[in-house]
Amino acid sequence: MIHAFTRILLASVFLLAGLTKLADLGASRRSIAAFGVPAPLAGVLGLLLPLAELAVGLALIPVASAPAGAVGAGLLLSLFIGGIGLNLARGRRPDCHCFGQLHSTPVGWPTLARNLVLLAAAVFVFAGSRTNPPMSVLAWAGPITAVQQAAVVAGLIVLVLLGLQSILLLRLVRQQDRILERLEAPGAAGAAAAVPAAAPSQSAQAPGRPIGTAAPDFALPSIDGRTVSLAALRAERKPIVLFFSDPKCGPCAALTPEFAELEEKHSHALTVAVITSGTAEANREKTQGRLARVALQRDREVFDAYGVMGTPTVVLVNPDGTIGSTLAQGDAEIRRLLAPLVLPNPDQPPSSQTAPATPAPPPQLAPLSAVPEFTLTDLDGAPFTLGTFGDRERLVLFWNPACGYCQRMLSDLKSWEASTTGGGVPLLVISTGTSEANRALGLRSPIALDPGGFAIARTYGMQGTPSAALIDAQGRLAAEIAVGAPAIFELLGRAPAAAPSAAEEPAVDLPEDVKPTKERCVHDELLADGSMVLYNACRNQVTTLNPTAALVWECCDGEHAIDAIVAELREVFPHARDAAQDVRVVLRNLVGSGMVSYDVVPEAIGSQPSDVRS
Amino acid sequence: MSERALNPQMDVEYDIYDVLGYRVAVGSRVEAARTAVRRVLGGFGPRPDGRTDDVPVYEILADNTGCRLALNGSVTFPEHEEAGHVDLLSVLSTLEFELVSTGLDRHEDVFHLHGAALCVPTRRAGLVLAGESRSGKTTLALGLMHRGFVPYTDDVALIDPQTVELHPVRRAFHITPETWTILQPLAGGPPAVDEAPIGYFLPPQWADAPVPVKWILFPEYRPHQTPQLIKLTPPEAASAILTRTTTLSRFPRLALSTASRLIERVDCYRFPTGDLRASVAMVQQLVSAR
Repeated sequence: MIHAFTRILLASVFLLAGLTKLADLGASRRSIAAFGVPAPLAGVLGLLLPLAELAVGLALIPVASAPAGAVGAGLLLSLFIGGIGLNLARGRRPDCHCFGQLHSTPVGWPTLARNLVLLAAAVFVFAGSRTNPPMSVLAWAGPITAVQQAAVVAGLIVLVLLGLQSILLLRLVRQQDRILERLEAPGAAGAAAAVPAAAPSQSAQAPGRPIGTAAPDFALPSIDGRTVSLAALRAERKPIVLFFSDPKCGPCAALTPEFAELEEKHSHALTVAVITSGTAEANREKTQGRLARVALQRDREVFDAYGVMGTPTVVLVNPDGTIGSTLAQGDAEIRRLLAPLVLPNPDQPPSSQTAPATPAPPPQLAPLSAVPEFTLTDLDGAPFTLGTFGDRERLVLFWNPACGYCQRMLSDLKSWEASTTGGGVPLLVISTGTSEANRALGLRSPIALDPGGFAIARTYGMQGTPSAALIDAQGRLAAEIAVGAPAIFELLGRAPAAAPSAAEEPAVDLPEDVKPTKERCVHDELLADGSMVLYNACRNQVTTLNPTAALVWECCDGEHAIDAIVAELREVFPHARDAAQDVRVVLRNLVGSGMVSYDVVPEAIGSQPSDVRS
Repeated sequence: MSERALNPQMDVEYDIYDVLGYRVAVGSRVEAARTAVRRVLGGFGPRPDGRTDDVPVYEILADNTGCRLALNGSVTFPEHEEAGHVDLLSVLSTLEFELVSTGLDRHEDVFHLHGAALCVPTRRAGLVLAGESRSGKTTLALGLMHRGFVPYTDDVALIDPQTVELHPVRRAFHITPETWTILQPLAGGPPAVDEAPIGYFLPPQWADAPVPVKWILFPEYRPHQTPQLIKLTPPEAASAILTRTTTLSRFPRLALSTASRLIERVDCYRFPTGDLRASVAMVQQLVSAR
């Protein structure tokens, strides 16, 4: 009795699903596409799936064909479970269209549970038939009619096709995984040379219409009897948030209060419109009058025009009527899309929120650490290694002929080469691009192409070009990595000398009575927190000073002797315990870095140089 | 710079471009080269009101052995004759850089910051992603463009020293082959290789109206690292900004005062990250938190 009831119930479910899908074939195809099936295949499956469901439903009715029907039901339900599970696992909730227009909601865990229950029912029907089975696997086919046999055969064919489709689906999912991995590696650009220069595969297409193209126009009745059109929305000259919703969609209902709040609080900055289906009454009930523009489409014509596969979905439309974003699908994605839209009035002063200050990150290669070896050949085929110039200090310069900042410093680099012929630090250039492009640079220094593109540079901790590493005679990093032309020229400038690190600046022993003076080529700027930034134009060097050092700097006016500076410091910072020592340390550093000089007072002449400049 | 005189070619077809105020004629007898130039310089023209007799004239010379670039009839790239001919992409790169550099040099009253700049979807506040090449700023900018942010520029952000407003540059994005993957939804599908020179991309929309900068992020690509926003102190921000501007060496006072004003009005963050999707979400959250 239970077995017969279950069998008939299962048959009814499949017959109902098949018939309702057949009645709305277009939506059935769109729904299959929304599950990630390629469009051409979705077109075919949109027809085959309801036929298969009908065949299974019919086969379940006669006792004789029930085992086959149960097997077919099991296979179909397994396929549904797999598809729903995959989509849920990826955070997607397409409309299931399980029963056509009769009942269509975004898939969720309840959908999955329902299919599992139905699968259990199919197993039960199959097992029950086996406890009182026909004598052979094919014997049951005998008593059924020719039409029933044909239906069963058709069903089996469809199942084979569905099996093939599932293989394609799996391949598609794997392909998407690979693309997502690539999307998640923003700086993987360094491996450019290893990647074909051709356009990528087509499966990375984002849903919806391309950004910048014209947004499809529409004019729909609203739930309060007015007309909502894109033209009218655009007339407000603000970004438009189109919220694609459905009164039967649970996540849409959960988002509705947030959209109402968005509209209420940020109407100065944006326009919100809801595009929905169903009756005005159902939508009024859902929105509770909290949204001003709720437009009713007749079928799915606006969804189709915007490429919307399921609800909830949101897209931004620019005031000029062009698409402003890709489709955001699902509540989490939608909330992220909306987040930047809820800016308060930007004229208000910046927030005073503070985060703990963190010093700049150390380079991956610290000074005095051993640098990675490399073995390359230069553009003329000669060996190119760290030891090309023997055991002496050398600069490894990472370059890219197509890099604008490299091009910009090229002429200065050539000038440097010309001015240091035979006497400067040897330069080893590791570059990317073609031999021709690198020969065209006209550099005298040896150039080698990194076969890995940017691979060697990465082993040095480089993130871009131009950048350079100064290597000492022992093969260690002699100074911090230099990034950008100013820092590189600084290394080139100091390398021929002893190349002291910042911590090893020459300790200038300052006489007592000197009156320090700022160098004319140093520019300063006081910052909001009392600290100061200095730019030494002679050395192309930026330095920052804390408030104490900034005060010392300001006192370097040729009028203040050291004692006077100390007094000034004590007055402004009465709690400074070692003001005298602080002043001397700051002054030594400023003199050592060439930003301050001093004239010795007359009585000291003879014991000190009259003008000390670093 | 070596110069080699050329015979005037009367059949060269020229387009007029206005590159940040630098009006030039660019042409070639080779259709593919002209097409490529139009794609790369598409943000600056071609202008319909073109006359070639009063502007610098650039020509891409191409034959079976390769390409060269000539300015007013003299080859300027490659610089040395012995370098021979180079490929079209190298010539395009040189041409584009020269035009943009010259155009930028005409904007002496504007602060240049090396980085991509976008406005938020409401177009009322600006965001700069500053950093060196390969730090991930262009990729992050593309990711944000998917989410309604609208670009001013990819490479050099122009900032008004007084109002700290961003100004449009419309320079083509410089991208790597794998970045094409991210472009497809923006470009409406895979870009045709014969139309789009590898390495360049013109966004489908640009921001035009100036908006004040509200955030400067300094992305740092760290493979597999969860994104993290680390607010910079004023001195740290000053160093970060001033080491990424070409204005400093040319106009130190302007650069220093602009940096100071930016630090007062703008939130500056280090942004180490190795996850694009999480980075985009974090930036969306950041700009919504004000």
